[in-house]
Amino acid sequence: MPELVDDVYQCDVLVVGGGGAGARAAIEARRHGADVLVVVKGLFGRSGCTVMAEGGYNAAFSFVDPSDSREHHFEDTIIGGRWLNNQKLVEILVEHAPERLIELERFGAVFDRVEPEKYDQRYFGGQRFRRTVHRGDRTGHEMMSALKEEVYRLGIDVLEEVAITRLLLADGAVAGATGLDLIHGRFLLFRAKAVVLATGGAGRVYAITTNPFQKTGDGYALAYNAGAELIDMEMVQFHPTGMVYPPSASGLLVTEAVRGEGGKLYNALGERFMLRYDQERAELSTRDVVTKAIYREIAEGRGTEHGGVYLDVTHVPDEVIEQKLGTMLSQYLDVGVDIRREPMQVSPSAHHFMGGVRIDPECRSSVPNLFACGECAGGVHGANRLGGNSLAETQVFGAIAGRSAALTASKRSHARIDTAALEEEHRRIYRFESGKGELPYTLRAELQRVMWEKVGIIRSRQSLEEALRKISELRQRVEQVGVESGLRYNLQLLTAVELENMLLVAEMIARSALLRTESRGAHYRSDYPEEDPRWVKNIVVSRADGGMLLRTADPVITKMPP
Amino acid sequence: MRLTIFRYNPQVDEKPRYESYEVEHHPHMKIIDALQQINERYGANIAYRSSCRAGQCGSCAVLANRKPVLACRTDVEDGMLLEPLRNLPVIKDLAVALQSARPRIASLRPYLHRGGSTPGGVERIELSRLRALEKPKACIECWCCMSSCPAHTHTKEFAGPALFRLLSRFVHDPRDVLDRLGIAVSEGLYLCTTCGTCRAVCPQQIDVTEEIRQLRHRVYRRELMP
Repeated sequence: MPELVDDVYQCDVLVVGGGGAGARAAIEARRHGADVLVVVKGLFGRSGCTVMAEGGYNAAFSFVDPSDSREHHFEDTIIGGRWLNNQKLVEILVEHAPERLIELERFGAVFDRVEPEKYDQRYFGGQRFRRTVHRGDRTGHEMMSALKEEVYRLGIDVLEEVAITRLLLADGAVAGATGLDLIHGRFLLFRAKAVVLATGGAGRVYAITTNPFQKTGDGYALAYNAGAELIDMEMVQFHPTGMVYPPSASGLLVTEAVRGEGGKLYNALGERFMLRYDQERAELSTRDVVTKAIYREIAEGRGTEHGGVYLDVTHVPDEVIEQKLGTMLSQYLDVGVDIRREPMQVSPSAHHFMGGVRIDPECRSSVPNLFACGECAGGVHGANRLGGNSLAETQVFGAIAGRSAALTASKRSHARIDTAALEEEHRRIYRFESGKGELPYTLRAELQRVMWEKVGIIRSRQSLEEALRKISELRQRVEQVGVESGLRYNLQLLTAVELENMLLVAEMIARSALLRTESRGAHYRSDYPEEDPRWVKNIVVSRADGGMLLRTADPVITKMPP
Repeated sequence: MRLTIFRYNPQVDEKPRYESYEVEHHPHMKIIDALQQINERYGANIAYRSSCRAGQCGSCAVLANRKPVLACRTDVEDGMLLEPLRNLPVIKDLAVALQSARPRIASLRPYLHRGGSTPGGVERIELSRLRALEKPKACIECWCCMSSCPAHTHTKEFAGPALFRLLSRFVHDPRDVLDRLGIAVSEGLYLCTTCGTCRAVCPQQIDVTEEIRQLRHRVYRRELMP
């Protein structure tokens, strides 16, 4: 190996990401006999979104509402996704979700019950039945603890605080990856027969987000740079209810479970405005509808003094709030608001990427030996995700990706690593150490601001073109970014590396949003405010000589035509 | 407002030093916001961990005025002193080697050991058992208790509150059949002074002292005392 590599790791299956999907993929790959290594940019099970997921996991058990069924779950998901979903993937989701949830209890989780052998299920937006299984409002934490226990049981190796920076190819197939070890600043080489991307989304490209700091879209960038196709990147879900005040809490998630447990939305005039936007479902409409409604109330001057709307649970009994919404209670007590006595103030916050790496039912990407699952993959949720469907997605598709990767790995041997690519990547990362230019934080903040303002909840041709100009300007300025040269736990260096990924993802979102000349689901164009039946199409992004290539494709429709 | 921060890079520094930074304050500003502001404004490149900002991931614990707290949930105060957690090696500045605790956690066999076969469908769990599991399973592994426990600071023969919390999680679980009490005794169950510091610093309000008392009670009933 070339001298510039500080350490080499070799495994059958490399799982990038240690949240719900990554952990589940690792478990399944190990069960299929693969030698697995999980590499996480932050701490295992703590730097992804799963651990902070609050509301729940959709699985049509029909314990609370006997008329629910997998068919209904399928239909709700397609209607919620405005017909852009890959229906084959949705069939798999609704079919496997119950079994994967039971399996989490085998690993060690417990979920709330109405009877010793029946789970409690709550209402969530866009669903006609109570379907969402939960553990209070810390469902994801319960899942992640169980997954960690299973990873311990199976003795799976986990490498923390290492950012995977590039996928390495041999004859057009993935053969490994390079990594930056945050703790020691070392440059690492990973040789793998198959790679699973489970890096989650990219909420951090927006100024206001519910996402943890690590969600910078690394997996999207890795896949794109390796030549893989991505799909639906314009479909970014803005969660209707993020915290608005104080500034330090801005964007923090206020779980949909608050509305599921009876929370009502009011504007500053005291009107229950959701009845005007969706009389039937009101607060429990789909997220895209509630987000746009809140946005409009605020934009038209009916917002609160801090620029939000009120979300009220004061009519809900104290013990229900304490039991079912304990996390929300303490999150607001931290900023001096007792939600048992006074309403919360909320406004939308960037939350989830429906789009991602284009996968087939086996979680294969368009590049050989490369798999994706969880939020990093696209296609399950179409133009709008239903709350509770992504925790289910992590488990259903995590397991499939792990199995597929293990089977692929079992049929091949390690490929030769291209030294030139390694050298090029080493140069790319450490070039930031040479200069005394701008800090990466400045550029990051400018990107987040422009994405929020121009590529956010309301978009137009003009705003998107402005954003693309800004992205291109920032890309020029990245070359002048300079970071401190110490290698140990160098957050400046990591941020610079992340920034390049964020710029790439931002461009994918803006270009796809510009191409989609209609409004659908989470994507709203003020210059094309209506849904256009001709746009029942996915936008596919890939890398081509000379830049980003966009094309449209027909969604996979199996049994529910628009 | 001014904050004083522990700075130390063991790779190059002979010993730690303290540096003060001016911070522009806003209402309910948390420690994490101040650290981010200092890094962005002054290029201080202070090493610290954070992920969720919402008290759910347990990554960001530090000592604030010598008391372990979650940096994302604690308001900054003028003159506050920020230092890394105790009882773990410092990687750099406020980031400690949480990873170094892994082998001892693994030695506790921290996963369910079931007797016999598992049922096909949804497993029967009594609602009272569910309730009993709530607190011990709420741990976010922030290591605040491990950093402040006098017994664990004095001797590593006492595995520390977080690890007893982990054992207790299995003891409360009706599905687990492994002899966790034997493990608890050998990990220093009787070295706890029941001073209650762990309970006082736990951001999840887990009463680890009570968990340990209950473990001792079970040990007593089964006559497993050392």
